[in-house]
Amino acid sequence: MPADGRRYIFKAQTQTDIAVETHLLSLKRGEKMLFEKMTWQLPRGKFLAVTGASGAGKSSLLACLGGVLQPTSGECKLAAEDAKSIGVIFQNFRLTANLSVLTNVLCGKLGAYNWRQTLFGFAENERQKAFAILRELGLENLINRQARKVSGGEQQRTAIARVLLQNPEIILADEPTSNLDADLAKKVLSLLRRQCAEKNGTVIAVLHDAKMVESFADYELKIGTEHENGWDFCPIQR
Amino acid sequence: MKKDLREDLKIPKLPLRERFTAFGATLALFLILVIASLPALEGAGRDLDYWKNLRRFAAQFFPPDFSVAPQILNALGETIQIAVMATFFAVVLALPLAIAGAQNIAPRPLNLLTRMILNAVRTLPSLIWALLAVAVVGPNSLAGVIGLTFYSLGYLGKFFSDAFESVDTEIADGLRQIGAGRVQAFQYGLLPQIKPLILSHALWMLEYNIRSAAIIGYVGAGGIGLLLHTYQEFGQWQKFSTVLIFILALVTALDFFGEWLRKKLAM
Repeated sequence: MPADGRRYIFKAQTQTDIAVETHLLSLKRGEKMLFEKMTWQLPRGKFLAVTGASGAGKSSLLACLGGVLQPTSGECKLAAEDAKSIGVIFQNFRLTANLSVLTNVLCGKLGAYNWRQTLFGFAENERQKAFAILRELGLENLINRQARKVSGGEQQRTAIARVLLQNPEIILADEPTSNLDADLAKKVLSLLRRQCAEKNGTVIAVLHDAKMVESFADYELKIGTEHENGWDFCPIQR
Repeated sequence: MKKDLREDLKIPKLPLRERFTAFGATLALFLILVIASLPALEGAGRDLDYWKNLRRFAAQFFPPDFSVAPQILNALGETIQIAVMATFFAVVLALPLAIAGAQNIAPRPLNLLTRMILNAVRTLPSLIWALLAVAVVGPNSLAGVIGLTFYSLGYLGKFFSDAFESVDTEIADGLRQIGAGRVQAFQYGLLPQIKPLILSHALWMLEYNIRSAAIIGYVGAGGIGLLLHTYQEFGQWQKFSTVLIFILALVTALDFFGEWLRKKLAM
């Protein structure tokens, strides 16, 4: 539950230039140890790509970082103020099917307002910001269409637009380009990259394409049994 | 052919006990109940010619007397008004009750209390609610509205509650995870998912209430039922049959409209 998740978000307990860090983090699924003693630090404004085979534990790691999964041992720290400072792109998007694409994007801003302020909708300036992001992602013609009536790729871009509008300090993205063609995938990763460069945001994204990892990430966290303790954290050499 | 049957491919048979499923048990129980209920078909026990009775009674319905059409239309209008108001109040009251009754939203003790109230409300038929309302506010259309509101509340509360429980809470949880408050997660994550269901149930209730509103007039709660009762009391069966024709026309039109609207809602 998200409410529980907040228990594991630590307010600025990391060093000032460190956005995310794990310390001796271990995670078991059933009897299988996915990774253990995972310890790394990710500086602010950087892009970390999490790679590994299916079932290696990439999504589980993101769930730990997001505070929705209790690790077996160890801890993870995120230098974020609160839940709204952490944006999540879910693997299954988690869009509200009967709401329009635009409203789904605006939902990224719910944390910035109290319920009375959003009871009858969103402020015009937020709507305009949302529209600008949707235009950038090529969805300007679909803003009023219900999310359930757009394609998988368009839904994924809607979920990405939502997190970009939220403008959080840290973005956790679970396979953000899985439904996109190569050009769109590059476009999306460029936007996430821009979040790092221009807004000093930190991105942790599960990616599969080695070329994309090389082109866009600053660090790579490899998860899998072929690595010692089930993980390997290394900077990308360009 | 029998020779070709391989022993290792023989499909194992379920033991008799496992073949006796819940469906089978229910069917058997129902058959027993049907047999035990046969005495209900005995009737008065007198040697009556049912067909002759029916023919004689039905003959009095014809030809229908359309001279009373203006009064019928007037009463039918009141019937629709009663049904609309009752459905409106029931929807408004049922929504908070449904939230309190949904196990995936409200705490367990509140669920139990709400469900108990809804069950109790549902126990009484609309006619009894209308009778109670007539005793309180007198024989008028307000009694009809109150009676049908209570009756509808019991059903809509349960339907809405079930609808809330059937939705995927993952979306609302996701919104909570990115900072939305409880009310916001409900408004933007849960409510849009069940809106079509709410509309569909409310429409069904409206159809039902229009049918019920035609009956509750019998106990003085206004509407077309009052007219039916009057014509029946005075044995004016030709006028009575005209009322029935109008009710049939209204209900049929409502059925078509409801079906059309439900299709639109599902799109």
